[in-house]
Amino acid sequence: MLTYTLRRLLYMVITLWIIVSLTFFLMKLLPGDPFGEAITKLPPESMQILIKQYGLDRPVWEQYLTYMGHVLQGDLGVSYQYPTRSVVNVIQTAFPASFELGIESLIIALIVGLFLGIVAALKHNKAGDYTASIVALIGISIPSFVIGPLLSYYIGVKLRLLPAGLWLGPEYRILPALALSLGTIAILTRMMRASMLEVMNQDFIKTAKSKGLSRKTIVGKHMIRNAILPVVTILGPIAVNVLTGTLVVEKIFSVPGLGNQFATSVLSNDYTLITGLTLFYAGVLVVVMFLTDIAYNLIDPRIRLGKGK
Amino acid sequence: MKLRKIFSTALVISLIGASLAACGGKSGSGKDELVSNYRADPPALDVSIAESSAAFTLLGAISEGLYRLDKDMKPQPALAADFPKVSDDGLVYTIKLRDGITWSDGTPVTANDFVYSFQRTLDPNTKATYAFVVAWIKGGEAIMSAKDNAAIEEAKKNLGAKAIDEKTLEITLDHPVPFFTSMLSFLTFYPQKKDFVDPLGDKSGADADKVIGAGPFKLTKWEHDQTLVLEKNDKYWDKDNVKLKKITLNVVKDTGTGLNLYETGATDVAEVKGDQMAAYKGKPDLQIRSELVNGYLNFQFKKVPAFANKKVREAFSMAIDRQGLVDTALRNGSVAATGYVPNGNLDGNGEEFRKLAGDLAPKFDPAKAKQLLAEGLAEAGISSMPKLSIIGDDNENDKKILEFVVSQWKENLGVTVEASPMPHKNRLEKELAKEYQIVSTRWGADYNDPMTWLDMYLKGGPFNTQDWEGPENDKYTELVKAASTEQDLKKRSDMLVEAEKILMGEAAVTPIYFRSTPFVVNPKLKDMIMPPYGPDFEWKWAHFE
Repeated sequence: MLTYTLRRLLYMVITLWIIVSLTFFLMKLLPGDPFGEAITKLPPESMQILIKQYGLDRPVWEQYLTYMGHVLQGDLGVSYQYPTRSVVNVIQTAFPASFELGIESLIIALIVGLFLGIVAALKHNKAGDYTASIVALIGISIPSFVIGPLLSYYIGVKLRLLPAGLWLGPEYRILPALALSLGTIAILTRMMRASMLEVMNQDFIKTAKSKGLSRKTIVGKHMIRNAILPVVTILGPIAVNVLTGTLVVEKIFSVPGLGNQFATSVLSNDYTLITGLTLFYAGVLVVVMFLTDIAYNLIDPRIRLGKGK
Repeated sequence: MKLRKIFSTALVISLIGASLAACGGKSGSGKDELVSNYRADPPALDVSIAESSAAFTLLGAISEGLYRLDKDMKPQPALAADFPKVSDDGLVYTIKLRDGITWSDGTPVTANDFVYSFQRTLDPNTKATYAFVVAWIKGGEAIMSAKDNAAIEEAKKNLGAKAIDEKTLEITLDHPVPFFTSMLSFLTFYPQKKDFVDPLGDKSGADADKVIGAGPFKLTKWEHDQTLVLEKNDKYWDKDNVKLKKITLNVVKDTGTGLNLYETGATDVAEVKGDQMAAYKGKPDLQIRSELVNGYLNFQFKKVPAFANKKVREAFSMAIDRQGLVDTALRNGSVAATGYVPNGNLDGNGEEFRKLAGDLAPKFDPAKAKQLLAEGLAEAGISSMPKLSIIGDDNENDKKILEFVVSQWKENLGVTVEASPMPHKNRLEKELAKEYQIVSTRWGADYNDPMTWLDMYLKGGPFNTQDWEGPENDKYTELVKAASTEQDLKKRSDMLVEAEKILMGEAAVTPIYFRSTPFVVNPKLKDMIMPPYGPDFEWKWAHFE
């Protein structure tokens, strides 16, 4: 287990290093420069100072080494768009909202998605199955940029049940979390249903039945426990996706999160913010994948980490 | 299973609780609190480095200059006690400060705060985008172009801005600037408090506690990308005329969401787009902000030799139905361009420039356009137009413009032009590098004078990206340069009108619309000004009925 963990940690560092390096060099290929409109008005002397300050006058490899040096010290540089704010500060300010929204949507999706998936499998080819499948179909085919405005308008404006947007009190969390969870609900429902159906046909279920175990025990202890494994695997990437901010839902409900920052940083060539956010996103992804593997081990003792290889 | 039960029960309870809370405590606007959507988080609230209208808007509420523009865009004494005493040659401005003016922390505002501010803006280390307007002060250019820190400090001593005493400021200009009093209301000429700004270094203006002003409001809360809260400044000299106690700005980037918030009473002000505007036609909520911004096309003379011919350019301009563009494509209150300088822009002599210069845009006439194109091509010895493309921004409005002009040229001239929208940055870069055949672009006034428009097309100027040259351009360049030093304001205005007539007569540039932005505003909110340039909103006099 220890060697396994250490090896995984090493892989994590290498992965992050490759991702940051790739982003750094790809970004330099972006057309335009990061100074925006200022370039048309700024006096040449100030422009020189600015270029020097950001190190853009030096060769790319030198810029790269300096950047990596700073990254190792936890300094991701200063944003070009917000000259008074560091990239770390931008992430610190924006991440909590994205994270909270992600957690809330994930909880909704897990409860609803797993429940629907289980119901669909148990009521295979009956009304319950069809209902769950239709919900999953709707969730997959309606993108959040459609469902978001619909929720905001009908529940927010027409029915006045919940706020149509903004990120103030707890009641402001519900609609964006719902909008964000719909896609995940669909994925989880489909996976859980398929996985359950597969497990239901296994021999050990028949054995359990013939042993005279109660239906509750069979479903709870034998079916769900085994069926949930593949679902846990995809939970990692799904979690990263919803936790690190989603451009569309954040924009529609005016959530001050990371998704928005990502989009504007690319549009305005904010080099430092782009690399910083990519590194952060990759870091979260790698860590969550690692945790998923550990969780997998805990749920299924058949997978023995670090052994058998 | 147990865990799941607890989980789901907890969620259900929290959902119900939250929806009840939402029904009960809807926070509307009180009598003296304004809640407004705002489209962006301001980059930095620092007087020297501010360059966006978001920063202009906020700093205009937090601080103030010697003068403040009223609803007619006329400067009124603010931190100054009265209008300036101007020397006969129009170069030396002597200004007495108002008695009892203080920063929001209660310390007095002195003439030295202005001198410090101008010096800091001009210092190349500050990297101030708008330093070029402060450089109109004598000795300003020398600071901006000084090579090292010692030279910068030396140059600062010779700047033509002096504190005669605590209460008297003397500004000596490099050349006469007829609209300088009005300019002194512009953000870049605000005072700055040295012992507050200096210790902050690069962090000046980064957060609510890193901004100080002498204006009607103070910034008490700034949650980045979310909320800014302004509260009335009780130390403000004119606090009796400030009616709002609090202004809450929520950053809302999507206009659809903005409108939903407006409909539920969660905001008093929301921006709307063209297609959303129709629903508010005829209602008292709708307010149109006419801006000193024009949209225009440039035809590159060297990339496409046919465009060096005046008749060809005229043909392309005449084939566009400008009224149709604003009525059917933009639909946001923008108006068809009648010249290069937009409606509402002053002439530097107290009159509206457009009224003096008149309608100079070619009348929409497809038949004549076709004829001109044929004549022009024959003159230039070209058999047909090459394959053409037009670049422009890829936002909603600009894409509509591209589609519109491309279809007009196809329909009215039989010329195929390919539209290639791209991100704003790329368009700007290509435009400035002259890497285009036709570009759809925009310009906004930096100050309210025709010079901000007409000095763009001087021979070899950076914005003369179409490469307009030749005897007519020589004449134009000479006129605009002469106007920039002319002291007789009437004569100066005439010269600039003459210059615009040459510019339009040559079809050297093709303005198509003057921009407007529609808003919905709580009809009970009165006297909130939406200035045509600089800040988006002026809240000093705003109040609820």
